[in-house]
Amino acid sequence: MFTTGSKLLIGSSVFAMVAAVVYGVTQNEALGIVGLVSAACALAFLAGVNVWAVDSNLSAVNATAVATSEASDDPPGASIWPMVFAVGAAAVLLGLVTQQSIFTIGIIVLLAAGAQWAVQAWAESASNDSTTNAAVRGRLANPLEYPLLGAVAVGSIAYALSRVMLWLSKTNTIIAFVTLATVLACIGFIFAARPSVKRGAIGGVLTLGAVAIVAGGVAAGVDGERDIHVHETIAADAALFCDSPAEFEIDEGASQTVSTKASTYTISLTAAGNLVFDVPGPVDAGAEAISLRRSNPNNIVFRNDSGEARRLTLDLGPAAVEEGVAAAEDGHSADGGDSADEEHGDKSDRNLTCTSLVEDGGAQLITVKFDEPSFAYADDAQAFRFYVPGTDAEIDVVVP
Amino acid sequence: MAIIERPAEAPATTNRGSAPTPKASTNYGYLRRPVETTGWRSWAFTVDHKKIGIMYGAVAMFFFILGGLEAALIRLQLAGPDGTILSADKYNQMFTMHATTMVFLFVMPMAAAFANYFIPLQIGARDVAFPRLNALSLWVFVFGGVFLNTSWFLGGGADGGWFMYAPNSSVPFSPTNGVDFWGLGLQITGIASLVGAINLIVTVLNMRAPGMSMMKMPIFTWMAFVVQMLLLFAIPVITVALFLLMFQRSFGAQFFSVEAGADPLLWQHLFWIFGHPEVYILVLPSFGIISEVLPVFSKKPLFGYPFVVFSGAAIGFVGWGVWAHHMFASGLGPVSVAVFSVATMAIAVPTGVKIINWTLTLWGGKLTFTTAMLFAVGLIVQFTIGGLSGVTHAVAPSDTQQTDTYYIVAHFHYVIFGGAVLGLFSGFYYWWPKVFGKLLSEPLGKWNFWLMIAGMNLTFGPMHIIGLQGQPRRMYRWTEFRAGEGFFNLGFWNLVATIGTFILGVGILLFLINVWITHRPNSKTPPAPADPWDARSLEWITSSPPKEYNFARTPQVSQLDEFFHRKYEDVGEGDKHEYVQKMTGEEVIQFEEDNADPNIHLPAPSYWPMVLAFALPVMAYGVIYNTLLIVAGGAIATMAMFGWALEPADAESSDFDPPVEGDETSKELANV
Amino acid sequence: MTYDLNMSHQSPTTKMQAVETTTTLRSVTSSRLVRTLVACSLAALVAGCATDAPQDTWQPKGPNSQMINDLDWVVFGIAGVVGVVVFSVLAFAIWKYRDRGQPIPEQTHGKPALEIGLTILPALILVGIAIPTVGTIMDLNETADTECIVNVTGQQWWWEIDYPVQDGCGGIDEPIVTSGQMVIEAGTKVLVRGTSRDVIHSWWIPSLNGKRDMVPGRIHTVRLEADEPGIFAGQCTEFCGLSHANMRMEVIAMNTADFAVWKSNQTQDYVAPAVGSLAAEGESTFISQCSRCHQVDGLTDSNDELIISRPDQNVWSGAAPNLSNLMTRNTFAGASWDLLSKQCRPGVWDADPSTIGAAYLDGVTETCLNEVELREWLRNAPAKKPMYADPELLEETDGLVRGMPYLALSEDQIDQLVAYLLERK
Repeated sequence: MFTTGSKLLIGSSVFAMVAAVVYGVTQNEALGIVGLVSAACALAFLAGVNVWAVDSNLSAVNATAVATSEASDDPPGASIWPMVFAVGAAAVLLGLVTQQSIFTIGIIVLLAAGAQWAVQAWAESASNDSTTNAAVRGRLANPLEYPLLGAVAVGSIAYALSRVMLWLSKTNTIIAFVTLATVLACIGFIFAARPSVKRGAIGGVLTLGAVAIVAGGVAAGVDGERDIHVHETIAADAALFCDSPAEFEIDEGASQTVSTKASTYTISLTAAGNLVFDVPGPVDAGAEAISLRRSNPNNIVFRNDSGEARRLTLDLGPAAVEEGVAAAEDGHSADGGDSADEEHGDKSDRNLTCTSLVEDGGAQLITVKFDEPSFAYADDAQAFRFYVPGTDAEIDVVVP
Repeated sequence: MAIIERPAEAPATTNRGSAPTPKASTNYGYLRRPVETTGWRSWAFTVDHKKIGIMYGAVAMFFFILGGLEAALIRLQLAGPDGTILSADKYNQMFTMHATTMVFLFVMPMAAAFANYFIPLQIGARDVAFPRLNALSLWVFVFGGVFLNTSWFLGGGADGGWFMYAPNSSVPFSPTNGVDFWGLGLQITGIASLVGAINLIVTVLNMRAPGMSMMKMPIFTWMAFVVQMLLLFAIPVITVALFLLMFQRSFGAQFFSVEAGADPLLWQHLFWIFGHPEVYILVLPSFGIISEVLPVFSKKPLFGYPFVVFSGAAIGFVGWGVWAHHMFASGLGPVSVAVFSVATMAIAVPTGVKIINWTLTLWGGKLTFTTAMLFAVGLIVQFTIGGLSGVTHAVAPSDTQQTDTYYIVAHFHYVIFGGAVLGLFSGFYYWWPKVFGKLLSEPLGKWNFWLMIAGMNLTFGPMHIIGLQGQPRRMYRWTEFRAGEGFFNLGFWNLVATIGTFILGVGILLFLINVWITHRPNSKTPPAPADPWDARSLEWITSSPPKEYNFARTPQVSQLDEFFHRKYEDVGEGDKHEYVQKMTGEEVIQFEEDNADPNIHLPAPSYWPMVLAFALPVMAYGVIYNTLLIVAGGAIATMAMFGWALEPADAESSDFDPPVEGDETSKELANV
Repeated sequence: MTYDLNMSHQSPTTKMQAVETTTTLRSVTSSRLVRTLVACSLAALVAGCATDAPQDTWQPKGPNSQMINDLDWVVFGIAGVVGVVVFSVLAFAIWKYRDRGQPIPEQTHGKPALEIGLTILPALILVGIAIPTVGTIMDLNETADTECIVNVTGQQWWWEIDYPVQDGCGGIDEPIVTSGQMVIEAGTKVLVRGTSRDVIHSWWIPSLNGKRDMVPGRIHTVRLEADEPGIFAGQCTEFCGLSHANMRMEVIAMNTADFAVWKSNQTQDYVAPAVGSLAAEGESTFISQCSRCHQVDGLTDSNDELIISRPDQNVWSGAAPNLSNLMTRNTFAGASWDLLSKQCRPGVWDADPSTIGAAYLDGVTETCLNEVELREWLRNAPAKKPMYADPELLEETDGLVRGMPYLALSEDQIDQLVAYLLERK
């Protein structure tokens, strides 16, 4: 039942647990406990695997066979793992005094090498036939090795490539990616066209490519990323952006397409410079104002047919009249514009929300929610109206 | 993976495990196989498609009873106005779980039970293509079903309806964990369906007996095959939807939050793109069953076999283009509504073809009305009613008056109970002697049939009226103010429906009593004859119940209805036909056994499917309660996959207790 | 059609070796069953139905529902005929071909010509149904010709109804907000423009039109038109959570003159209760207990400032019914309970079309008030109508309630509120 290996693992697990308790009582510090308990769990898991999946260790099953086997006579083969293990140990020590990342790598190397070492040692005691032993080792280790190595390989290539992309400038990124894709397609095409090409050649080319990418990644990573400019959002300073017909950074590359084309309200800026609204069904004939519902996310599409780039702005009444009268809830908070308030004093007392600048012929969706009825602002002529900065176009909103 | 058969000329012994010398041993890194042939282990770890089929059926039956009890509570609540048996909350959970249980935990797995048991038998195979995957799909289903129902004890079941429309399924509107259990439970049972589907598709495509072309395949296998194809494409859609739901509820995603710009109709499209093919997934197996039963008891082949096959396949295809007819009132716009309205009418054509062909199968036959036949004819009648009411709401304007009322409830119960469930019961009575070696009592069976028919018509028939007169579904109570005047007001019909439910319940209880009477200790029921119905297809060319290896020798097929043509010969001349019996069924079976294959190799049982299946609900609990459990479940799953990957397809001789000596290749047989 | 598929030739009976475990059933039973079923379903449709069910889909009271109903009859007729034909053929086959010792029939696999014919036939029938269906779909979705626009907004578990400013509906100068009951002018083509504040609801007035889901973030339209004045009952038909069963609504159609009166009633200025009356105490109770969520237009606080309700700070979906003119409606709490007492209810609901408008405009008087249920409601609303599932679960909604919470009002306060509310008309 309990093989030597599993006994070792169970023992180690218990030891780690005891150590965690002792450490916890004496040191009262979380990180060490977490580490020791994790180690205990990991060892217990390995012990479980060993007991349940690997328990047909010959020594446990058939003592006679072990005694009569020639395995003990067979000298063990060469092994790289002691050396790797030592490298790992060195990295751990080095990491302790220098960088945490080296320490982490050391731990991983230590664990991997230890596991491989254990598996190899275990497999070599299986029989006196080294081919069988290799097969036994492979059957145990390969199902773990292949997926892990695959993940590591794919991960490092992807990571390296991302470093390269971030190092290049925006334009060069595109050029580089197109070139790389073309080269890959060409190589693929050549291989496909010439089925007789040697496996070694394919492997060589792929290895070369992978090495090149990883090397590029390392180089780019060391050099660092290009300067990445952080875009402003409307939320950052609604009063500044929303009341101006000028183009701001937030407007660059703003989406001009909306997926919601039916079942919403539409407000269009016509070539004549008027705002007209359109709703499912006939327009509320005779109404001079658009009627929107209270406490409800209203989806409104702004369509710009004026010939110039324009934005639609919604005036939601005076700002900070009382606590909590911030109304726009399309992700644009009206707060946070303090510094801008000082610069644009005349308009900063209004709660505004708006679309970004919409090109001629473009459209954008704005979602607004009114928490108060419009008669709450009965004495404020400007409250609750849509307008287009830079034009006279405006349309009142009635919220019953 | 599965080595089902080994060529007869294979060496009689291999170098594996023949002696306990370490040199030849390769049994490192995997568990001793569970090779018991008796006791619970022989069931729990089996990879035999027949045992798996029986277990599928038994578990599905359990859930059928559970779902039936939920239905009874619903009807009791609605028997009179302002019902107080259930609270609003409990009522909402009840109808959600009733539908979920019946669809996902009864009809689908019961159809899987039939498919598992009979597809290999009908195509002359010894097992399915991937026996361990087969066991996996069973246990995943079982654990998924149990997981789903543990919600009752952990704060209440799901309460959003089986269609779980967003945003009502989001946390603010359904704060208990019911919806989480629902989503994750269906995700798990979905894995079971998907695994089973792939397995059976490969089985049907690759493992048919020599001579059996696709167009000589028994019709049940054909319909089950179409269903597996539907599952293969439908399950991924609901998987995506359920993932969105899981992320919405558990991980703060905004897929259905309108304030964040989402459109709740996304869920409806995803759900119904799955949900409509699901309807055909439910009924097509039963169509297959009665297409086997009707010819047998008419002594006549299925009329228009290719038409039935192709109409089944056509339903499978067109079924993908009609999902939006569940959304006629959702506000899709007139053009979409018109297109889907017409497409929905189009799907009535292949369905009509099936009804016509069944009727013409009876026409000119020699009909004997056994219980199985009664259920089959009952299906034609009841399903036709459901089909016709279906056409009335393919008409989109009418549907806007009918949808979400009891009229729809009536419609789909005529389709699913009248179609799917009656077909399954037909299958129970028809194949019971095949599976268990004993015939169920026929007189009791007829009581069972007539009570079920009376019960279902009393339950669901009045719902047509209730619905057309304006009672919406999913209401935990109804009020007299909206029930109308006169003796036949909605209150009267609600009461009738409730009474009908209990008649229906008694009918189903009779089935269970019938099973008990047949199989109780000291039952007087004699073993069934080998060919009790004078059947026509391949599964009867072997003993009842079949041996573990199914067929003594792999049958050679030359005709559709192979068994019939082995028994009967046409001695008529020219256009005159006259059939004389040249062999009895027993003689045909005896002939096969006399010429048995010398070497039969079967896959060995395994622990790993069950262990792997067990890991899934552990992870699901983790999503709901604690992330650490996900890690634990993941560890179990990894370990199980590891063990599975290491395990050779067949057991070592040394695994047997006592170890099998001598003839290696027949060792499984020695233990059967 | 006399297509004889029976192989009528008589050959010597073959001795059957199959084990006789089957019993022959008198097929007469089956055919009788089928006949009974058909007869029953016809009878049920004609005589077995409730009379005057308020939500009967087969009693259209307006052109839109009439259009659907006309189509219904065609489809049900065709379905009925097809059903009778199929069941007759089946019953005949069951009776004719039951086992009477006839020989084993020919092992035929079908007749392709017949098969194709029988495939085309249902296809043709369905084409016949499809053509009028598509026409009706288009007609029912027409919006350009409507004459009056009413907005509805669904919310757990009641409907808000508002009339935007427009020339339609006979002219509306300031918005009207009400709930539960929509008042329209008979003979006017009304366009309902609906959405929802939380989950999907469905607007369904069966006697006026089919249902239409009201989806948050979208605006859906549905036409309504009543031929004559009357009260038309409806119900939310998309499952919307806990109290789905208690989310109802009515449409009240009245003639032009009555409708004009109703509109002016709705926009009257606020009349404060007489000083010192019970209703005046009710006003201050209302301000302290109710006005955080429920708007009463024109109500002012002690500083003479307008009181604006802020339901979004207390209710998850962000709104509560406007109570300015509560007693002009005759139902409350999602139109689930009557404001009219049992004695007074028929006087309005069963009134003749010529007088129903006037009867409705009388509103709810002190003598007619359904005081019992209104008091139950004020005493403990969630006990009467299940609302938020569990107070402990409120953390999932940031402490906001869904529906009206339990307010722990004293009986005195309830007396005051009833007196105050009685004047809201």
